[in-house]
Amino acid sequence: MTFNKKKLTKELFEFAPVDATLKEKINKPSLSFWKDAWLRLKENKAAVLSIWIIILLTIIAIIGPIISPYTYKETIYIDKQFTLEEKQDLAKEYIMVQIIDEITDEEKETIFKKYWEDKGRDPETKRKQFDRTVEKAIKENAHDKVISADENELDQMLVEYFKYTGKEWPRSPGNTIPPRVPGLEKLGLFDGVRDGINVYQDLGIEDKYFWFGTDELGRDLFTRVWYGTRISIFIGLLAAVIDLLVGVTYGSCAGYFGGKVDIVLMRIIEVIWSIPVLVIVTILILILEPGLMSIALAIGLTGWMSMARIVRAQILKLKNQEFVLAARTLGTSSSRLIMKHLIPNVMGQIIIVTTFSVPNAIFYEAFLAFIGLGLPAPQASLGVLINEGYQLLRAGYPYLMIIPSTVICLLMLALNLFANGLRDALDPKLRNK
Amino acid sequence: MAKKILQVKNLQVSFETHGGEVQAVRGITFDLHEGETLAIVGESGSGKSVATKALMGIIASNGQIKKDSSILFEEKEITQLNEDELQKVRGKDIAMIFQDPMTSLNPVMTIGKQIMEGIIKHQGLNRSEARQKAIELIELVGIDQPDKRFKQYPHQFSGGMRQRIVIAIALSCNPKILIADEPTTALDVTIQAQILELIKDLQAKTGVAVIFITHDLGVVANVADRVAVMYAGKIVEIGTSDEVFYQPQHPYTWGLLASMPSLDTDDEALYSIPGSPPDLLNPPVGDAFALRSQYALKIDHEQEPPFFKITDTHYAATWLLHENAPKVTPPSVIQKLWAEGGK
Amino acid sequence: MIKYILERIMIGIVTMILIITINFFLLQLLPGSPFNSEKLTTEQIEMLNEAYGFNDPLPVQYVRYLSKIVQGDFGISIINTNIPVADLIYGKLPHTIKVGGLALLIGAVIGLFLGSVAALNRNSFWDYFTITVAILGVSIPGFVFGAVLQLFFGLKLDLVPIIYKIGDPRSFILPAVALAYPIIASTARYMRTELVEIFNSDYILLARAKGLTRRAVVYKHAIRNALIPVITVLGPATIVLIGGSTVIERIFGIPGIGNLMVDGINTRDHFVILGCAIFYSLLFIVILLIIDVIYGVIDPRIRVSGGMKN
Repeated sequence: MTFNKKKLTKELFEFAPVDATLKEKINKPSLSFWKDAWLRLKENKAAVLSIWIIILLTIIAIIGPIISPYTYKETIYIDKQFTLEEKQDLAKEYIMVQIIDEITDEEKETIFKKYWEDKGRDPETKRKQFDRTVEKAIKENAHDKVISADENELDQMLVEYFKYTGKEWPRSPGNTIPPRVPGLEKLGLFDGVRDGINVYQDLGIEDKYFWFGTDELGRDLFTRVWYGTRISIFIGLLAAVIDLLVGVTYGSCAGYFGGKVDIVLMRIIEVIWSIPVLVIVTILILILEPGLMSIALAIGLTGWMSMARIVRAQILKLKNQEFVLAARTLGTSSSRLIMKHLIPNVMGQIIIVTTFSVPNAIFYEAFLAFIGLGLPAPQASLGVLINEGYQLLRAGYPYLMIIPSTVICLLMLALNLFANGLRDALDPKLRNK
Repeated sequence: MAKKILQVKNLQVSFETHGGEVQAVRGITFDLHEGETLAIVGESGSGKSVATKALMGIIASNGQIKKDSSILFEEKEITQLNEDELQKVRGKDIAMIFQDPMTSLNPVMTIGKQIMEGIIKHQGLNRSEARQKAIELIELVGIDQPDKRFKQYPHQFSGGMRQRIVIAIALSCNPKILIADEPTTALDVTIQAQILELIKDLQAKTGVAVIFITHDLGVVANVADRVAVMYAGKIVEIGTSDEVFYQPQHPYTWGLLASMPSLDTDDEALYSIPGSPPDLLNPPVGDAFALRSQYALKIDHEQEPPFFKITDTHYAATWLLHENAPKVTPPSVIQKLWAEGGK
Repeated sequence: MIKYILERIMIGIVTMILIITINFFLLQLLPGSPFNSEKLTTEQIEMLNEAYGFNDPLPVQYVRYLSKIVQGDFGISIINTNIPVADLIYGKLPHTIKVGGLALLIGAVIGLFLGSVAALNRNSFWDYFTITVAILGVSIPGFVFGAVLQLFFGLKLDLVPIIYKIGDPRSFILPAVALAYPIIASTARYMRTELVEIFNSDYILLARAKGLTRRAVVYKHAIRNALIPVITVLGPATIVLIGGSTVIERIFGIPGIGNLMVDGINTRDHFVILGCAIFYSLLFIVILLIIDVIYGVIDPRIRVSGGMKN
């Protein structure tokens, strides 16, 4: 131990004033449970990134279908593109129809005379063929006009033809149009090219951008994917709520009443747990018929067991602690005791399990859709879209499956990482489990 | 005085954590003599457990013994040994008993096997010899029907019996030093006494030196020849049992003794030390205890106190022992102790 | 020990009866009779109902249904007329077992290996790799993973056949891997957690304090202890296999039970669906029973004292 003796002046050996702030320094301010958890969560980079991804996906899922000019169930029709010959034929028809409709008898007479005179014959000898001649002359005239017309004039005539005749411009469903995104297309990605052909150019819709393309029925995939994401998230949340309600009620009853009630309730769980989830869900959906509510209900009704077990275990542990005994001696009623004293203390656990049940439900919904128990058409969830895409995977339209698959993987990854982070933050003991 | 078998000099251990480097042990120095019992006393988190684990090289993987530290065991510098050499020391020369007997035995291995492992490793006995030795050990720690017990699993033993088995494992290779890390804390009071008796008994029979870690001063008074008081990773006072109990000099020791419930102090309310131990991520400058001490001097906040010698065996690190320091009156309980010690 | 096994068997039987009962009442709940088809006239349906005893009182039907199930009779497929569902299941079983068994093997071996390596080398590349695999395992749906495998290894690289072919073992590889991957993820995760926990336990510290080599500590104490609870992963793994087999069999064209069930669902062939459901439940219950018995045998805490796990 070496120290500088000279420095040890007398005044150093006076009593130090009791410094309250110094004491504060050693006694770290104790953070509340939730604040502490929040700080821990914020430190977890993966979880924070996941929160942003979840928020972003949710916002797009809400806004995407709204800003899109199409609905999820509407087939988009594309105006027919005519070949040059077809255009010329239509233009000819237009000219003829127009002239025949408007022509006066004098004009007919002039055309008739001119026709034969040009041929060096006397028109009067051909008077019998008057109508045929006029028609032929107009046709030849139209033909000459059309041949000499350039593409622009032809297009102009085409537009006027449909306007004049009042006929509908022929259209066809714009199905399986590949994705095209402004900006990215210049990089050769999402450029609307399939097998070396720019489909957009081919269809004459170069001004249009289907960011995710269209499906086999010509529905806008962008709208459908975000609509589907919305549905998937909704099913996930709904199932989690059912899970929460059933699981917490069941678990707290078992834990709180204990004894025989507990034994019976836990045996029931054990039995239900021995039935594969697939079986229960299939049976439930068959009875209820596939639909948003029935699918969420089926998933929610199969996922509550772990919640019930955890809540029960926590309550069993808590109910013999002093504060509960104290409340009980003061005559607090059972339901009040559960709601006010026990549940808040198992809140952390409940939140953790609920956060995990959202991605689980989304996962399960997708799985059900894939085996044919999904939402009925034209409704769509991500699972339904992946299923539809899978049917056309090898037909050369991989984007139909890849895009919704990417969205679901991203969503699942973010939800799971967030749930992991939340678990680590709320219950550090469980870390890495 | 008996030969020194262990000399610890300036032992420093720190852990890398997410928050930064935690300096759990901040330079401790002590000797251990053959056959004696040294108690290390301190609050939880004072570094006493870490310090002794460092003696065996079994600190957690994120921990590290700093380079100026020295642990000299019979001419061997423990800090310089590699893992292979350490394994030859562990169990054979230095053995350890842990706090919680319920968790310190492997639940799926028979008791006998767990005792035999060390014997086979260190004593080169064959299986049947080792088995014989293990059965003798079970008997030695006072368990009936050792042949039957040999084949049983930990869950068939009570807590006290499991601690006996752990002791049997520790003593299986006739170690020179036995480190007992709070061996009675997790046990019932009646069992505690039995285990302490057993350790004392076995020490008398084998002559092993014991380092006894505890926060229970009652236990210390019962077993220790010498006592070291640790606070915030440092030893603040060290001396013979009598010296520390009856002539305590450091305000922290005063606090500890004053907060010990005892049967004969009937008139006073139990004392407790205000505040909590400092954060060893950023250890305070000067005397780490100053912030919690009503006897703190200005210098305590600036310089770390050196050890002041009181007797040949008694040292304390507090500026109160400096010649310039004002005379202070310790709490009345301590004054009583002083008076008793003076008699 | 015997009491413990008997108790497990009892629970299994009760569960099975419950499932069969649920199925029976479900049959009553389904709209119309099982013969609801536009091709049949009312008289024909009435005849069929009479022939199959659907006009008998419910309790009579229930007992008959129960006894039929016990005899392994799951009814007759409506779509594949006149083929008993039991025969259909029996015919498809070998394919499902072949691929499922292979997947279980791959999943368990790789999962245990990854989990152990990760726990033994915390914060190393393999640790992060394992954590990533574990999180991807719960984030990428099996059919997406299967389709990606098909696209990449089958179509792009042309390494292995993408469609299952009887008698071509190479065609088992992709479906087995696709089926195994969630099992790899969950097993690795479980093994890692278990080992990390064990490494932090006092008995490992004691084993080290005895002066045992790292090898002895890791193999004799840590891994052996970790393997015991990992057996319980087999239960959930079976569930994963059952669920996974439905989608994976469809993707890879495996003529197994999963595919049979999906076909049943898509054609609303109720007897086939229910038959598969009962078969799956039975399989699961038997596997749970086996796990419980194995657990009881290898864990001395149950074997010796007959206590419950946990």
